[in-house]
Amino acid sequence: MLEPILKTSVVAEMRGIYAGYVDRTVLSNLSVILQAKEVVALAGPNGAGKSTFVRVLTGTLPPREGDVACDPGDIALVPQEIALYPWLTAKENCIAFAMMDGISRREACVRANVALEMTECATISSKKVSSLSGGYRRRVNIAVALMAAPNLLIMDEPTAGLDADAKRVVQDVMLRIRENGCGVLIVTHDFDVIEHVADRVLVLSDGKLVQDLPPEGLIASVCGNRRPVELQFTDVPEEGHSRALLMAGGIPYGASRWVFLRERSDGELGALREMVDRAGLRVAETRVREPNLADAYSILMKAEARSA
Amino acid sequence: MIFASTWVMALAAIRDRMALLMTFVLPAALFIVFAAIFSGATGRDLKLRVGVIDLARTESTQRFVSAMRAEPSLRVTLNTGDEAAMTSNVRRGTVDVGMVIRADLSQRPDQGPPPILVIEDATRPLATAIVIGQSQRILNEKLPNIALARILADVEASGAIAADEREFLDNAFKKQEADKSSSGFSFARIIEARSTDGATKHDSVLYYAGAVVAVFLLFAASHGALTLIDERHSGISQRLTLGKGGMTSVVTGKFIFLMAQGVLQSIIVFAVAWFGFKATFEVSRVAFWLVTSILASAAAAALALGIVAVCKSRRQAESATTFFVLLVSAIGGSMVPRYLMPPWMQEVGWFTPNAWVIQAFEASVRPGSPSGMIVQAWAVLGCIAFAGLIVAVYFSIRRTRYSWAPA
Repeated sequence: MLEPILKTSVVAEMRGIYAGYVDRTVLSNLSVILQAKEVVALAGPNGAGKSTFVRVLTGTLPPREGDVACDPGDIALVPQEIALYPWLTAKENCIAFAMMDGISRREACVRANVALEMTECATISSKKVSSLSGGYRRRVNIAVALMAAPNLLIMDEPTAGLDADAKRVVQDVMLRIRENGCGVLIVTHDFDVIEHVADRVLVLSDGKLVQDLPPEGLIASVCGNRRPVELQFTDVPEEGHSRALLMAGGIPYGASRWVFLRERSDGELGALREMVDRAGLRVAETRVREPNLADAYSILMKAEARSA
Repeated sequence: MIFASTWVMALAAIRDRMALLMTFVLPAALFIVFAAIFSGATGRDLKLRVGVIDLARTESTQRFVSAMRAEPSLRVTLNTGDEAAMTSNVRRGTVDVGMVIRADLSQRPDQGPPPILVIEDATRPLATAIVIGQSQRILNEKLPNIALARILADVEASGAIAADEREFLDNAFKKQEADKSSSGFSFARIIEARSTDGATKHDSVLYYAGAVVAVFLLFAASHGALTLIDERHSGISQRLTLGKGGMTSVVTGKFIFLMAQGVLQSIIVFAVAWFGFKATFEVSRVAFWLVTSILASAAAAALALGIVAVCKSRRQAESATTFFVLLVSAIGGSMVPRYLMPPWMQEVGWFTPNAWVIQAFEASVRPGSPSGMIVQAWAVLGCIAFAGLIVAVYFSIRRTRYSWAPA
């Protein structure tokens, strides 16, 4: 196995970080600890500061204030794009990137076999990347990052564009990397993946860290004793109706699907039904279910937007 | 670290067979075309089409036409008709230059307009100059008595020569003309052409070998350098930035590959010139040629990498490199020799890499070239390579740093 060289269980620490670009501050007073054998998910809306967070962590953007305690050399990145040479085979890609990182060819060959095994790509190691399926390309993308035996692996949207089966394999790969002792930071909007693999979720909003909890902790913290009630309307609500639904705490999950958080004790959903009837909307289907991470995130972001 | 980047570039070239063909076969093929066109257009293989109408049909005009037809640099066709017909022929492009012989060549100036009228097309002024020059040479060499007779007529008109003296000279001209073993009048041999290095006629292609290499080094290097942008957009550069070698190793690796590729291109093109066109090949100059080839390739590689690194998108880089290569190739003498350009453009040409590449190759392959000329060109090419590489590394790091975009 490609074991990371760990001096401590903390692989990266950011303390009181302020960072940004010429005319604006993006990150404000951000403090985060990332540990070995941990999968941490970084979530947040577009413009929340996720890319700036990664740039500060990897040392490509120096912070204006605060400290970053980690060696950029211990970090490897799996970009969202398939950052591979298409005319090389999977193994040649691993070897090429390792050699560009200063690893000898002999050592690179050994590591490539291990990395491809770990990402379940051993069978396609001699195939050109251009001939591989999307799922295999994603996994080779990860294998290449593992060649540097990093302490922290940053994965940017690692499951983007994958079907359910391919996504499941990538999730397994992430868990295997974690078991191997490496810290994993995934930057993603895929809450299904976060719920399955993340030990912690960092939620960024407007450059501030608004939550740092395990997925179930985040759900409990945001939803409390409430559960989502999904209403599927027969028609798309008009603008006036949408405003009324928003005022009543509704969250749009689609054009005609809205979710409302209601106390578990509110068994009859009387007030909600009354409000919908008053608005003249017709409900095709009502579903009451347990809250998930996507619900918690949506509610959190709505609350953040309201407070802003 | 650097070697890995070179290795990746080499595999890319080897596995893309069409690109490989374009890189190494195209320069040689185009060199053959360029050499055939331009060494013919500016060398001794020129074959201008001249249409001649002999309206006078005297003994002297017929001798002149025969001499013109025997001239290897001209393709003379005899036409019938008049001045208007010949003007029409020239305008239609049937002939490059028209010539109407209106009177006997010995006709005195006060007896009418000049006996020969040359009709030119405004788009081919150089052709007219060449035909007039060749006509005068033919008159001097083949019909010197006519040339002299016209001068004597002027002298006679001024009263400086008596009738008996004129008769004596006329007899002397006739005797000279009749004596085929005679080498003619001395003024006909006033000019002798000699090449600086006794070069064969095929050596003119060596100029075009250097000129074509200069263009293709830049084109091939630009194509290879575009991988910098592709890697930036595919996330490869971001990935590499975190590595120990960083972008400096990547750019240096690409530079080495493009340089090696350039040397190979130069070998192919010059091999065609030496062994295909039978240009003079001097073993003693191979070392000079090799150094020139390395420095020219290095300059082209660094320039291409520098331009591409500055650009933000592939489209921008493609436009910039194409425009740059065409511009410097035109001004730098890769398309037309610089001595044919206006003086100010010849001076501007020194600001292009092509001019220095051509000078360096010319001086390298020709024995006895001043060493200062070679060293000067080498120094310039070396400086271009160094500066280009610095720009390429700086902007590659800078552009990659600002292209991070996690979701």
